[in-house]
Amino acid sequence: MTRTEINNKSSPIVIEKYLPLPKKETREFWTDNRIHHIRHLASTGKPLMVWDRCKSETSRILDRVFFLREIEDGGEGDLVSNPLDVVEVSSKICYGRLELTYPLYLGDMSFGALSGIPNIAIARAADITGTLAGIGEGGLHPEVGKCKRIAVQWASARFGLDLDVLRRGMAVVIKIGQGAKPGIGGHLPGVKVVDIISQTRRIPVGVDAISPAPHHDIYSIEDLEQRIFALKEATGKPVLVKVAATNYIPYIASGVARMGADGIIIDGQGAGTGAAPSVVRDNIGIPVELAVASADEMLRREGLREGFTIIAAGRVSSAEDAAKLTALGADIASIGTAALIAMGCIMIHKCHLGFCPAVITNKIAENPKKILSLETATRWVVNLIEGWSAELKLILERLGLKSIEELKGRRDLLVGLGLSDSSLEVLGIRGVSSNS
Amino acid sequence: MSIWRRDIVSNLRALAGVEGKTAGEPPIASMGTTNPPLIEKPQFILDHIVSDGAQVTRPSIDPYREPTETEVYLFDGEVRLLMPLIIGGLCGINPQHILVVIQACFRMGVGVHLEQPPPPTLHPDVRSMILLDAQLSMPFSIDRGPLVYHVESVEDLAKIKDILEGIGGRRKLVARIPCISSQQLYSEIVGRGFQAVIIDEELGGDEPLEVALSQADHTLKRLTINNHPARYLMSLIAASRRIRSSSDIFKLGGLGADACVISDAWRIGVDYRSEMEPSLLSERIENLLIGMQREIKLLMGAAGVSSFQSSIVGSRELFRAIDLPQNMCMRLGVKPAGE
Repeated sequence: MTRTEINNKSSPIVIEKYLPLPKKETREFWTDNRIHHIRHLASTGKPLMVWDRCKSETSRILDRVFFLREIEDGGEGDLVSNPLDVVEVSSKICYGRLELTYPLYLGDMSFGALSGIPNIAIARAADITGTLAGIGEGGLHPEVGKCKRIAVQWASARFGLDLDVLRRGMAVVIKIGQGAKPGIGGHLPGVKVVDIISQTRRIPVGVDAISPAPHHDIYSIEDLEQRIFALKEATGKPVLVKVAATNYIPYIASGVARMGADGIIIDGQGAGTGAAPSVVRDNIGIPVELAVASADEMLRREGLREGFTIIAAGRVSSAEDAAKLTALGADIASIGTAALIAMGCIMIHKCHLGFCPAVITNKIAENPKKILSLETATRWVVNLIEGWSAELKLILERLGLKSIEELKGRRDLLVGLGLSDSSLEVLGIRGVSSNS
Repeated sequence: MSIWRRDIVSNLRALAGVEGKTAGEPPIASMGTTNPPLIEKPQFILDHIVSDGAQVTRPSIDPYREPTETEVYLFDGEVRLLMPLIIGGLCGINPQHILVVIQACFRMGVGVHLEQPPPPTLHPDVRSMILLDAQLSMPFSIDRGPLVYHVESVEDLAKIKDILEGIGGRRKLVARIPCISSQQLYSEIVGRGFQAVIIDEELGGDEPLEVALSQADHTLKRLTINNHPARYLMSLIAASRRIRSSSDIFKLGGLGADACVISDAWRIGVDYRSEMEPSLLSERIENLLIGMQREIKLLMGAAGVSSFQSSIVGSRELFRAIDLPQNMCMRLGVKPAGE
């Protein structure tokens, strides 16, 4: 036996532990403390804090939005106890057609962008926790297809889609845009298009898979209505429309609701991606907190809000983020990057190259040297969702609320600290000066 | 903090082919952005401005597969640039390189701003793409290209009045002014037959470039020349050493610039050295320019726009400002994000 053959036959190292975090050379939203918090939740399934202490480290608009209760508590409300079971976080979405045990959507990461095991782990975690996982654009991984609580994505390239695939899962997502690259299509670098990806997506090996920027059969709001109707007729499932948070988001949300969709996923600036031209990622799109507040306001004004679902995505890093987005008008929050961090992502921004040290977004090799433990990865994501929801319950408890339903649209519970007058107006909250 | 953040430099160098293996191609990145104003610290108003991604209510355009036009016409259609770009900052470079830069820019359809006259042997077509600083003592006959006059006030205009009358309508005249929003000055510039204004931040002024530019665009749309809006006969150009990237050029376009003069950006992008091989310099400039053009096309396509000059220039409505005070949004004419 030659040395190469021996190497080929040796079984890969199974990754079941987190890697140490590299030193960061530039400013980053996902600070070490944010990553450690998520790792705590993922390892233990237990809450670590009530109010998000990491928000002082960055200056997102949402980081400068506070629950008035936190300020009134003056730091005393931060003692973690076991949350009361009477606080209810289950949520009905899409005109009551889907019920989620925890108010979380696991956001639309494709097979191809992720290397298979993370896709399965996320889908299984959704089944275990009673949440919902979007499968992304890259077709259906056979193991993911065995899970029930998935949302099948219908994106501009239609990779690997047929009636059978569309009927799997609990909902269909028409993907119009995503927060990391509004206005352009998906992008899977050729280096990651190996045999299995080629078969799932039905595209040639080694060639960049660049999805069309628009859907070439959706050029108007009327076209969108026809597609929503056709997908509902074909599947009998609720249809969600995923868009990026962009400049005209209130009008887009109103159009999506009016055209008969069951909900909208609004993906904000700073959301993750497997690959995007940096010029697009860095210069297009607005923060999800502004987009959600403004879309919710428009939908209410037009009498379209009742039963319609708003899912907020993009830089959702903690239960407090999710709670604040809910108070601003979202029904549930979506996590993508946070789920990757739970599975060991160390945020080195190299997904497009295919050499992920945490083997989450790596190129799929025939004889890999390292693989992610499916069992551990699934447990990490399940724990994250449970620990996260426990923190959410603690927040609701501090706010004196009995359920997540009671928090929806309660902008009066929020204040802005050091925000511009224009941001406060869009958020519909009042500002306080930072020394009060 | 330097305005030349590492990611900005590295992006330019990847385009120019100094770094990486995909010269001329827009660099690819992954996971969420760390761009200002919310993660990195904002340094300029431009850092607060975002462009649009078209979706649902209108389609985006796929610049990989569908045509998008970055060309702009200056001087009432007499000069055509293939992209809204003019290369400046040539006074500090090796004199032997100046011709190399001029020729590379001509091949790419990009303008050049020069302070000293170019070699007399240059082909007239190449000359027509050169904006040359005029010396008051200079004879007008030596050049066909646009002449740039430094104008700070109405009095300055009066000083060059006679010269201007002497050359009449035969020359393309450019007023290079500081960042000010004086309606009277614009009115005089229009009245004296200038065909372009360069708002140059290096000349100082009392406004940020973004505000001065947006106000100039607005003012010129109100002023008239023979009952036509002056803006249609008058090109508007923005210049500053801190214009860092194609996205800055794109956003300045949105605020009203038909084209931008970049200087430090190209020198940093091609990693300029006075002893470098002319062929390498030329290659890197061409890579950088084609790469910047492709980035502009990506931004245009995402916004659902097929022509830079007709739909981006002065389209403040297409842009939004993140985390800027209301009064600044008003001065820029850009709505706050979410509105």
